[in-house]
Order: sequence, then structure tokens, then C-alpha cells
Amino acid sequence: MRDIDILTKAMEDAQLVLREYDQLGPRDRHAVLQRILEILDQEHVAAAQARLLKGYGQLKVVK
Amino acid sequence: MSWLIRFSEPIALPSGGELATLKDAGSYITSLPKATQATTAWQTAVHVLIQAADYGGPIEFARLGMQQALFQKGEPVPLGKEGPRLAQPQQARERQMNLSDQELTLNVLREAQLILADSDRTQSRGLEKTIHELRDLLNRNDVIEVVDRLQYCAGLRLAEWPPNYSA
Repeated sequence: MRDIDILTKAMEDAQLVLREYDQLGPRDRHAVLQRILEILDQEHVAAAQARLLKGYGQLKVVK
Repeated sequence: MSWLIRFSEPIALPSGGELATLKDAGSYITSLPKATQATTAWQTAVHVLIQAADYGGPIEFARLGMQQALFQKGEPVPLGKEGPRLAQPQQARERQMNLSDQELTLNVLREAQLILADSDRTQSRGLEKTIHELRDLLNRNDVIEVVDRLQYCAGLRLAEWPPNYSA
């Protein structure tokens, strides 16, 4: 799985949590935010984010 | 030197509120998600904060480091407490800048992490506001399109090759 796929999956999972929250009606807001935080702050997500920010995997012109 | 040293002028936070001392800034950084803390801008901010607090480094550098981390990529630095950080203007800026899918994903993820870091989870109203901000951000049309597009591409890549016709 590419780094960008990891980030996309995390964003989709967070969207799903919000969608569930909307569909099921207001519930435990704290738990909802905790789930989103856990999704977006997973170690492999953080690592993928850091790699992409550093530009790993991008083609560069080398002299 | 001390962590109680005050900035020449408090640093306004994007979501409201301000950081008056080096200690405030340090606490703010430690409250951010690990992924955000690991970015270059925040690592630089931590470095200049420690230099200022423990080694007599310039306080103004610490202030600039914080501002650069808070308002990256040319985002306008708010003059007052009510700084602009709304989903709609950022969406417009990103469209104008014609960001790639990857850049947009990184920006949105960072924005979501900042919203979570800034949220006041001690109050019910704060929780609802945070959920509302996250919903606005993650349900933007361009974000949904990018997620769909990237997942479609991922699906294409995962297809078996060479195809197995025996089944």
C-alpha cells in the first residue's frame, strides 16, 4: 500500500465515523472524537504523512 | 532563563485564544497529534523554544518559529485573536493553487489534526463545534472527490496481473 493510500484510508475512515454519527443521531461526542483522533493519529498514518511531507517517493531531477 | 518568559506580543491561535509565554507554546505543541509534532515546521518550533527557554536563545526566534508552524505555506497570520481559519476560504485557496491530490490530502489531514488539537473537549459545546468543523472539512466536495479518485486508483493497482483465466 502506498503512503497516499494509507492517508486516504484514514480520511475515509474518519468520514465514515462522522457519517455514522450523523445517521445515528447525537450520541457520545467524546467517543466520536476519540475514534477520529485514533484514526488520524495512528503510527503508520503519522509515518506515511511524514514521509510524504519529506518528499519520499517523488521523482526528482538529479544532476 | 525560564519557560515563564513572555513573548513580546502574544501569539494568536488560528482557532482563537493566544499563547503568552514559552510554557504556553510548549504545552500547545505537546497537545498536538504526534504526526503534526513530527513535521519539520513544528520540530523547528520546538527547537527554537528550547533554545530560548533553556539556553538563552532569542525569544523573538521562538515566536517566529511558532508562527511559521501555526501558519504554514503563506497562510495569512491573523493580527488579532479572531484569526481566519475557515474551511471555505482554504478550499478556495487550494483550488486556485491547483494542488495535486497528494498535497490536498496532506493539507486536509493536517487541518483535521489541528482541529482536533485545538478542540475544547471539556465542554459539550466544544465537542459539537469540533465535530462540526471536522464534518465541514472532510465532507468538502473536493475532499470527497480526491478520496474517491485515489481509492479508485488504488483499486486499479491492486488488480491481479497477469489475469487468472482458469477460474
